[in-house]
Amino acid sequence: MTIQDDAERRDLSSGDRMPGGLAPVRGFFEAHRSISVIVGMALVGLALPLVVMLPPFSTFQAGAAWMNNFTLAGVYILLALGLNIVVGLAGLLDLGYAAFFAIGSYTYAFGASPFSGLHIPFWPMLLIGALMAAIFGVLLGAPTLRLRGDYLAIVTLGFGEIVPIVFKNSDTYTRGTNGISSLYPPDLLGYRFSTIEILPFYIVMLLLVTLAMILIYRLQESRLGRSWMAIREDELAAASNGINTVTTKLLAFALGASTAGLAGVFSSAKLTFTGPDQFLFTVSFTVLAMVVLGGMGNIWGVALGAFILYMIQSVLLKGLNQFFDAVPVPILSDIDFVQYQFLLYGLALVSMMLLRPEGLFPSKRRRRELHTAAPGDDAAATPAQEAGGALQ
Amino acid sequence: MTAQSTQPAAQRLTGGATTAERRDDLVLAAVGISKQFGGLAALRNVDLQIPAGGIVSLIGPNGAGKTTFFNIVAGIFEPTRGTIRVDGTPLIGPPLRAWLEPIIWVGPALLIVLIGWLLNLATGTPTAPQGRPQTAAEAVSGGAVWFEIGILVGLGVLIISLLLAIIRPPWYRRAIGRLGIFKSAQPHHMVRAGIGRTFQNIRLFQNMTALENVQVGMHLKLESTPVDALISSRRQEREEEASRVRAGELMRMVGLPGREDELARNLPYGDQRRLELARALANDPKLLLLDEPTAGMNPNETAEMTALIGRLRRELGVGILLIEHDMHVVMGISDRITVLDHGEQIAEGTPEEIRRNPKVIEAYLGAPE
Ligand SMILES: Nc1ncnc2c1ncn2[C@@H]1O[C@H](COP(=O)(O)OP(=O)(O)OP(=O)(O)O)[C@@H](O)[C@H]1O
Ligand SMILES: [Mg+2]
Repeated sequence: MTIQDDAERRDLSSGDRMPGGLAPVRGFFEAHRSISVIVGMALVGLALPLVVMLPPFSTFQAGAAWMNNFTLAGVYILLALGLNIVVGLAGLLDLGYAAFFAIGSYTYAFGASPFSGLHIPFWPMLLIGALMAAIFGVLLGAPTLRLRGDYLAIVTLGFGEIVPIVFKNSDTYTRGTNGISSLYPPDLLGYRFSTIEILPFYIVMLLLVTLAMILIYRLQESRLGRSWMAIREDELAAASNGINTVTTKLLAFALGASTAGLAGVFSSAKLTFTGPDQFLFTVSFTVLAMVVLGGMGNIWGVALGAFILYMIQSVLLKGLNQFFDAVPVPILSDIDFVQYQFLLYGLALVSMMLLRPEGLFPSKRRRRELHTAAPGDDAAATPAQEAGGALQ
Repeated sequence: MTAQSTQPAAQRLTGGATTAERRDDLVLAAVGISKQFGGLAALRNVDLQIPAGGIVSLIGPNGAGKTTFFNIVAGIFEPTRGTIRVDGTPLIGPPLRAWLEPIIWVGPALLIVLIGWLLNLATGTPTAPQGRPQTAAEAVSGGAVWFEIGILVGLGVLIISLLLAIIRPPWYRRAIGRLGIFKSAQPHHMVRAGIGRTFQNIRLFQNMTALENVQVGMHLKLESTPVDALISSRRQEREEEASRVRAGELMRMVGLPGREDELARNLPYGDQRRLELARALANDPKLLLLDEPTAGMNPNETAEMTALIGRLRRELGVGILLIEHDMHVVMGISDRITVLDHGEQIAEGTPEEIRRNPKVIEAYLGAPE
């Protein structure tokens, strides 16, 4: 045990050291998370519109179409960041996460549409939507508190199905399958956002993602974040150290859901429409795939994973279709790649589990978890460990 | 026990008994603890008292029920019978007036619905909707709405009380306690009451650093809320810094200086036991439950651990309940010893008395260590 561990220890510490003069820069950014997130997001936010004006991208589709894709990718980044709290930090597998996205969206539809007769401005609706989703996060989380692993996954899967079905069948209040349309777009100081002008939405989305990342970083590194991790590691030991596991898990559900609520409000305000078909299981699944592929527990990794997967799904696959329509290769031109997107996700996830289970951009912690011998292995070897029942 | 169980339950918990269980200098007073696992009686009518700052050992052959007793004291298992007081306050025992609690959850909600219904009757407007409403606004505004409002608010109140019931914040427990309702404490309540523990099989947070493990142990000492974290308040920052310093001190105290940033899983076995001890100490417990703290250690490490336990008592004044198989350790360190065998408490006394007790000798010869 010792030799291998020593090697690993050295390996870890040397991995943290940066070559040459970069170390102080890195140190600064690690000490000032918020600044590094703001700087990072500002750079990305500036770079994206510029990059798509360059040849390979600009020939592919118009700049506005790119910007539209980026903005919608932002919705999925928010969703993935929120689900990462529940799955990545607290270790609670939630397969019904789209429910909270739906609740955020419908909250905006009720708050700002001719259908409801209300017109609450977009900005407070962001808060209200997040709050509503958080409330439902607690309500749907509460019955699952005693469940773990597979059972938790099944129950949350059920909730994820129930919520859109309720919206679909409450005709009187939601116009059922038709959905609620002509929602009021946001306005700011007299300027009214419109579907034609994408840039304002893009900027708002950048701000929302930046804010979410900063806040989630802060949570992760706080007493609450530690409690989430402790529960993920060993729930019984967490409780035996004074952590109220019930409240802590409910907070994870609530905060994860509120991020989805935020995404829901934004997305329905941007599309000016909300309908039950936007929140099917595929959304929950896609977001989970984003979290897993990106690297559970690592905020930047999850955001990047969501971005990449969304771009593959909404740009690359469609692009492949167009490409093979134009260049008739016998079989390939008949395939509708968009239809095979879940097959591709499946393949990607399976190969990921085999090759790089910690995700593309894992947190340091997660990498260590998955790439060293399981802790039980050597502990089980000592005779004192063998006695006792389920709890010992 | 038979005499006691004929008394009303309330009296059993709150008074009546004249024995030492009422003594206030006892950190822990466990009376008549029994635990049944299906057909197996893991514990039968065990009594145990620990004075403040005392060291009491629990010994017995494998499977005697020692760890089961720990889990009961820590709030993980509910005992089949018996009560446990910490500092004179009953925390674990048979439920009292449990039927009253659901009424508290449901009652206010029903009352609100009833009021809504009465208001509807009083205002006398019809509740039936006219035709199929076209918009949500119409759907809501048709007819008298008191009843609907009553149902909505009632539902909200019901949900809130159910949430309170599962979260069980301290003030809620106090409030229902005043109504004479009693339910056994949960593990984190026992920690709050001042009981810290280690596990027979080390249960560290393996993928967290040593320092983070101790910080988790400090959970109840820290006060910053999630809101503090979100706004990154001064309090949060000061507290986090202080908790790191304090955790470092605790680690030095148990003999792990300079190991703060190592992952718990990478520590050698003996150090993991020390780290678990530091984690349990982080909440400033009045009573430490140590389940075989020297298991798997070599004689050298065992001697160090024994010295450390003695120091904890002297320097921190913390009471200790110790499960230990090593008789040298037990005899050398304990004020009193309780012996279990097959769930039965076969002896209690000073180390000298226990050493000479024929029943104990027999139990150990029957199951050689
Ligand atoms: N969760 C459980 N469910 C069913 N039976 C249990 C459970 N926990 C313990 N037992 C049983 O209760 C009895 C007492 O077990 P316990 O772990 O308390 O013994 P112990 O005195 O701690 O023994 P050791 O010295 O081996 O640690 C054993 O027969 C055990 O199998
Ligand atoms: Mg045991």
